[in-house]
Amino acid sequence: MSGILRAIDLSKRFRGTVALDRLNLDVPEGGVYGLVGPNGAGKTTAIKVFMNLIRPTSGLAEVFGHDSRRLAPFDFTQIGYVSENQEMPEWMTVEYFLGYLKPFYPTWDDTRAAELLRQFDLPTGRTLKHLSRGMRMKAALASSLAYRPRLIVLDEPFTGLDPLVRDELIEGLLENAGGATTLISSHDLAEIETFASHIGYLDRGRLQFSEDISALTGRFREIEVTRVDPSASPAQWPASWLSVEASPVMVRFVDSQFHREQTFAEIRRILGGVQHIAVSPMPLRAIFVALAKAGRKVA
Amino acid sequence: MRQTLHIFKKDVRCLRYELLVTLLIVVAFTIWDMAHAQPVGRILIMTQFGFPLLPIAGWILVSRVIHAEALPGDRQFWLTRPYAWKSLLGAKALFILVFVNLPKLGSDAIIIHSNGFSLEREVPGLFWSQVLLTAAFVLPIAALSALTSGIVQLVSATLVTLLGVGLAFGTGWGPLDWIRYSYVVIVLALAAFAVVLWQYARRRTWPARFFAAAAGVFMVYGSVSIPLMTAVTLQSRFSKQPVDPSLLHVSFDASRKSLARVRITGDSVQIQLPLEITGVPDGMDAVVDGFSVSIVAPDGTVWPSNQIPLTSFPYQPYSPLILATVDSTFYGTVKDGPVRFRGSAYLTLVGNRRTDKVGKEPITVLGAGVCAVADHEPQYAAQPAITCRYPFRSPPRMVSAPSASESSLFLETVSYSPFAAELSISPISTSFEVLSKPISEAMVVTREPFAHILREFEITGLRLADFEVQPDQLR
Repeated sequence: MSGILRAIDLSKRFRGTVALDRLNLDVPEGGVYGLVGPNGAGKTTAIKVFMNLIRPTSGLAEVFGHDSRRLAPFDFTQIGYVSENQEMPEWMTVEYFLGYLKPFYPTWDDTRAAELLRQFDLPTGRTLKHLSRGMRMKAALASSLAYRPRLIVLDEPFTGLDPLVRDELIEGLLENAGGATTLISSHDLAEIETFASHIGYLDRGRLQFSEDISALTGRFREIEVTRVDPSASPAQWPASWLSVEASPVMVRFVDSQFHREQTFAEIRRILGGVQHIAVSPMPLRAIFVALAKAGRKVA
Repeated sequence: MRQTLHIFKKDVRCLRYELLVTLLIVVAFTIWDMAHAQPVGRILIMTQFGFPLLPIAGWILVSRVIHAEALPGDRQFWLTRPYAWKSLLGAKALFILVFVNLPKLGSDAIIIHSNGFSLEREVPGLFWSQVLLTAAFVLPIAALSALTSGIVQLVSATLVTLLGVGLAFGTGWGPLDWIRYSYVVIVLALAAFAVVLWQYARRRTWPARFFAAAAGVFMVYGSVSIPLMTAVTLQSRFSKQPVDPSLLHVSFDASRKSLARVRITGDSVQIQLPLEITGVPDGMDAVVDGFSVSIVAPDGTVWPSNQIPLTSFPYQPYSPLILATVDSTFYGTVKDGPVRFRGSAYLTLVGNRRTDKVGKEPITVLGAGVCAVADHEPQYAAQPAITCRYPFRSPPRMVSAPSASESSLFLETVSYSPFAAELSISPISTSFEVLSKPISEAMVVTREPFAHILREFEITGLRLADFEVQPDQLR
């Protein structure tokens, strides 16, 4: 898989505030890439640089192999971009909005547009101004899927939406994305863990990790060790052990590099005799929280 | 082109109510200006609102259409859609052309025609007024709109720009004003054009804003720094008939010695000296457009000329006076000795005098426009008046009506501009003289400006103390 979106040492500063700090990112073609991180991590900034909405301070952002600063109208015929804070032409009705956009896209599919309107249950005669937040997002998504884009970029699309609308949006996205590459940013992993194929974790403008979700969930485990020797405690815990909580009886931590034999061997080396080791797989949300806490501790 | 038309149609639909209101205002303005074509006209009060509303409506329309796809910011939906910037700019230009320029062109044509002017002959005026409308109105508003994303920002930027233009126009040069105005309009239009292009092509708002601010400073500073001498030198290049400046002499007018006065008021001293101009070729008169003067004391001390206000003489162009203010300390050192006045006179030689009889029926007077006498000129508080209307600009000839009024001169409206139009909302420029009583006819005299001359002069041997008067005696 080749990268359809790439950031190479990408930095962006806003009057002294570092939003992106030498970001290196590679979004492979064909999957759903979830870009997650706490609020203020730089997700929206990264997406805006990719979409040529803002210019990077240094480094390079590439879309379809081109410098994002040189994105041409033709490139945008292959990109569907939806953002939570996008300003829409509010005076337009839903029907007029889609009709207006149609001539811009050679691949516009009327049948699909009609299907999306039906699927999202959009009131075609109502102006965008008079739509609820959820309806606006649906209208924006419908207008971005009707021409079968190669790349779909969604910036915090589910923020502030009720679960029902969120599920409808996700369903609509999955049914209509086809083979498109999708980049979706969120501060809430639970929103995207059910359908993302890859995940990137951004914190303070830096990508902490980026990998296939199955590999990620495979290497994170919550471990609970019942100790024999309460006095055995190292001066410093291994870097791969996150959120370590130690008591005379028990040590609990998140292992970010879990490998059964190696992890068990390391536990025994550090803690001496152990009575019991309990290993639990972690949902993405728990991994995210552990990483966020570890990040703040380092900061 | 297809995308341009597509965006254009969207803008028409989006701004349909604004368009309707604007077109109604243009119609009201046209009716109002046409009503003035009649010497005695009945004006509908409602239509008078069209006059100030016309530029406001144009301002709203231009800014709204640009803001429909606002350029500053990163949240607009269109930024991530396949818009080609040239198509977008083309759509906006087409919209402005169709709904701002063309209605004004149509309105101007109707007003000009109703005022008795031939449309065929006024094609240059129609063309130049459209150039000025675009350069001094449409482009600056488009540029300000391209640099702003909301009405509050735009109103603030517009007020700052109006202040800058007001400063740039500075104090009046009378018939030479067109030189300063041309400089301001050229700088304004070029800067605005560059900003619009830059913003549509690159969308780099902050650098564009800095550029616009720098251009504004350049416009104001450059305009107020233009020396009158430079303007006169430039104007002299437009002389129709070469005249040797050395033939002319500027000297103290001893025959009007009673007008020579020095008045001391606190720390400042006002000096008034009558001058005469001799050596004017036969058939011509010399009109003074202004002076710059410095005063040289016997010990060689010079009162800097830039502290002596240049004086123009719209009221007594053929009998000029120097009016200067110096400080009392300097005056104290020079008042009892012979002083020298050294300066430059900016003169226009006028000739080819024509006299036309004007009655209540409007007639065309060469170089003055369509003239008539009216018992109740509605535009001027229903007083008796003689008026001359000229299309698109001030009359190119000096117009007076000595038979109607002893001191009659329409000089304040004459312009030496070589262009067929001036910056104005109305396409009709009206020169008038309000009369004390109704008359049935008057003689209108016009003189053609032939040559513009800069003449150095020196007046020596005057003792200023001889002219001292009480403060209330000056003028």
